[in-house]
Amino acid sequence: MNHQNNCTNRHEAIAAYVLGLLEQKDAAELKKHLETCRNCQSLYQTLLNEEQEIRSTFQMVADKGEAVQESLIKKFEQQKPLEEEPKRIFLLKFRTILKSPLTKFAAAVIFISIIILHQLGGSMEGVAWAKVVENVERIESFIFQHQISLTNVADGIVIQESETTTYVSSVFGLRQDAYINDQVVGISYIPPAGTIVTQVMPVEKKYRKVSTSEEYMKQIHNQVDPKGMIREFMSFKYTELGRKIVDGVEAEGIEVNDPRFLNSVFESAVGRLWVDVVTELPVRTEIKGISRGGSIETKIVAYDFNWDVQLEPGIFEPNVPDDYTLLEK
Amino acid sequence: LGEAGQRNKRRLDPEAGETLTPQALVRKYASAVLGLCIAHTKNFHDSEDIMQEVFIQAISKLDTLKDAGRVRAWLLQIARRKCIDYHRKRSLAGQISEDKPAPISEDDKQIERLHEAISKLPDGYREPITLYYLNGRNCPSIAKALGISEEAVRSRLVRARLRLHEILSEDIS
Repeated sequence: MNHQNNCTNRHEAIAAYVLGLLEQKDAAELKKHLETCRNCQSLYQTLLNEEQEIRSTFQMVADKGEAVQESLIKKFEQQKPLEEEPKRIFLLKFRTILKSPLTKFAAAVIFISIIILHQLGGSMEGVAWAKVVENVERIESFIFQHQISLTNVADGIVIQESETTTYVSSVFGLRQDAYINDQVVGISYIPPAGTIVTQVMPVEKKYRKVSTSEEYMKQIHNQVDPKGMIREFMSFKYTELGRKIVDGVEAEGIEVNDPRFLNSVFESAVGRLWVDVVTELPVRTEIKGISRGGSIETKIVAYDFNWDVQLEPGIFEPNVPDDYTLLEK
Repeated sequence: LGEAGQRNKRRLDPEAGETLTPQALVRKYASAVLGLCIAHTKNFHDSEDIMQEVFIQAISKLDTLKDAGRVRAWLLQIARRKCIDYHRKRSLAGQISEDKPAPISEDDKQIERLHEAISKLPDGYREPITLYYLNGRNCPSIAKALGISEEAVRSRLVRARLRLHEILSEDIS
């Protein structure tokens, strides 16, 4: 380390150069200097050799870290009921773009979404599918996100688009939150028993209580029940889609192409179900339906499933602030 | 379906400040957390263990994180606390660095040698340098994670690198 004193102030520049942090102009000047100064050239070569070793060592660290990372991911995926601390809800920002007044649509979305819960199961045979049925059957509570868009087929213009978060508990009921620009604009509470669905619209500070028939409520709950979903899905013929990475996990998929899909709400419908090959639980569903004589295309994506999360009962209790007014319908 | 899928994928990107899953969190930030653990521990195996503890704790407390844009800094803060606990436990148990498992392979030896050199760096240098090498050599990202300016990151990296050179040279001699 016997570099000339008058070059000491260049050492930082040499280190910066080796790290790739030196400005182009300064780098050009340093290169010129290196051509004439043996000591600086020597330090540069030493740092350069070291740099290769450091980088290759950190690469080894990264590779080892990646192995730990993968085992950690598997741990999170497999460790469900036995977790020391139950997984909690983690909802950060949700972006919703809705191009028409939301409140009407939010109400529609809620019921469309309930129908969608139909296809969370799978029409299954082979390696993983039978296990998926069992896995979904044992789930008592879960959360997932929804994206629904309606497009005018003629001009490709998106008529309506929404994102929602749905909470499902076999004990406490169902709740669905619709979002627009990070703001909750509609919340629907469907109780585990009874026939009253409460809908709260925070933007308008309004709420309504929708009375449905017992039969309809039963139908909703049957559809939400994973067993019901699977039975429904299994009644359709499907094609295997093979494996691919879906939302960061390796998943296996099937496709159903049948107009009777989703209670025949569409004139033609294609549904895809992707299941995580490790947890053997659904990771994403995608549906494309055509309606109104081929003029409207509806796309529905359900994703970000959090299976077996702990959901507090309070989530499902209608929360209507005092200053909200009741809508007649 | 493809279009909806693509749009959805973008919305799921943690870096975009939107939804996070445990898997995405680990994939995105494991390197940074490991880098910080390496900066504060005495051997690589401990770093790996602490990294796991960090994610287990973070995921169980993810509902307390309000700002997705701060995920990285938040994780590194948890990692720092875990490293402090690690040192506290070690000193309580009277273990310094003698109990580390003996490196077996040449790769392990190489990693331990570098790790030891990094552990001799001054406090303010260890985190930037490990994050630099383990997290894509990206100064803006390090600045954001450490809450300092990019210029400060650059300056610390350069000084840390020269100091590391001195330590490695002493080690050889």
